[in-house]
Amino acid sequence: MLKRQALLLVPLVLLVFLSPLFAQTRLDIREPITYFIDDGKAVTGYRNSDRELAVMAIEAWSRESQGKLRFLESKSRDAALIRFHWIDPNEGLFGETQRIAVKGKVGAIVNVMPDVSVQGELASPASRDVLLRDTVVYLTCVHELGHAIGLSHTRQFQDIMYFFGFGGNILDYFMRYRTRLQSRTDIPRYSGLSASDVQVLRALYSSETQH
Amino acid sequence: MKLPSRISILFFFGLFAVGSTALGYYYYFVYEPPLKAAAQFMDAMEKHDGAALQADIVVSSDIDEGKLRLPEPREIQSLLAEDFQRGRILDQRRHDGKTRDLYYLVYREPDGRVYALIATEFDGRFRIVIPEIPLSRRHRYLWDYTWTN
Repeated sequence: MLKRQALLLVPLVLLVFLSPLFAQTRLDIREPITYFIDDGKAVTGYRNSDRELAVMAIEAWSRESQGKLRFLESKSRDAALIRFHWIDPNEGLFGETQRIAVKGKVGAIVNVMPDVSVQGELASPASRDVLLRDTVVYLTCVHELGHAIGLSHTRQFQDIMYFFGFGGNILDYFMRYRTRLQSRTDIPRYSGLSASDVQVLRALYSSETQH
Repeated sequence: MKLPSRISILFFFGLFAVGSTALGYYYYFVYEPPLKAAAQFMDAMEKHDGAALQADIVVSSDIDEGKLRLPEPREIQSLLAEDFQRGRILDQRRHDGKTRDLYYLVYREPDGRVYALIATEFDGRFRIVIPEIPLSRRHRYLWDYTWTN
């Protein structure tokens, strides 16, 4: 059984290096994109303030899209197109995005793992520096939300949509954002998106490519 | 207190037997059925076998809510009209849905692009879930799916 799972991992690792970038499904932006953020109180490592990080991530994508992406909080989870869900630690997973359809519209479940204490080389520094811990959770929200709105992984280390499977120092990845912050209130000032991320976002939702 | 060696050997033998049984149970009753459903689905698509496909799939209008139904004939025809090329299942991840467990089968297309096939139990057997509206730009039966670790 374990051997079989190990064998399954080999092509998984290979595909990360070999697969071309792939286009995903876009959201319908003729109306505001409704979202709902689950309560994560029962989830390991969750802090009440994490909800605010998810909201900041949503606002970051809206800002960088120059208002093309408009988000609206839904009172009901079932009616929301984007559903933020906090998950317990699982195999070193930072996050996961699942495409769903909601009442005939494209949506997504955005899963984010808030327990940074299990994230290998990040665990120790994040336990001493709460802003680094918040950086990891915030950037994970931004990254997974990027998938939800239709962006794919990239090979460029500077991109928010970069996939760690391509290598690079994970601590450096988060620290370059962390060093820009003096306090948590600085997070809305820096979206975390690279120029290339912004370019892809705006191309995806340019008027020429609308439904 | 030092235990007689025959008890220790019996203990490890029992541990091995229990462990093997548990792993076997997990493999045959939990891990394999979704994979089997995917294999049957791919066989039916390759053979353009509409009758088999009818039994192998279920259509979802809202998978998170567990809204599933049997496919209509036009949906079978629409699937059979696709240019199907068998891909490869790389991994599977189980998600607890509101009403049933969903098995995301990480699926690599022949050109290397990665999506998911979703399998779930419906009316006593595992079937591949087809979204009512396209949820990937590639094929009707594929779902966009990404993970970061």
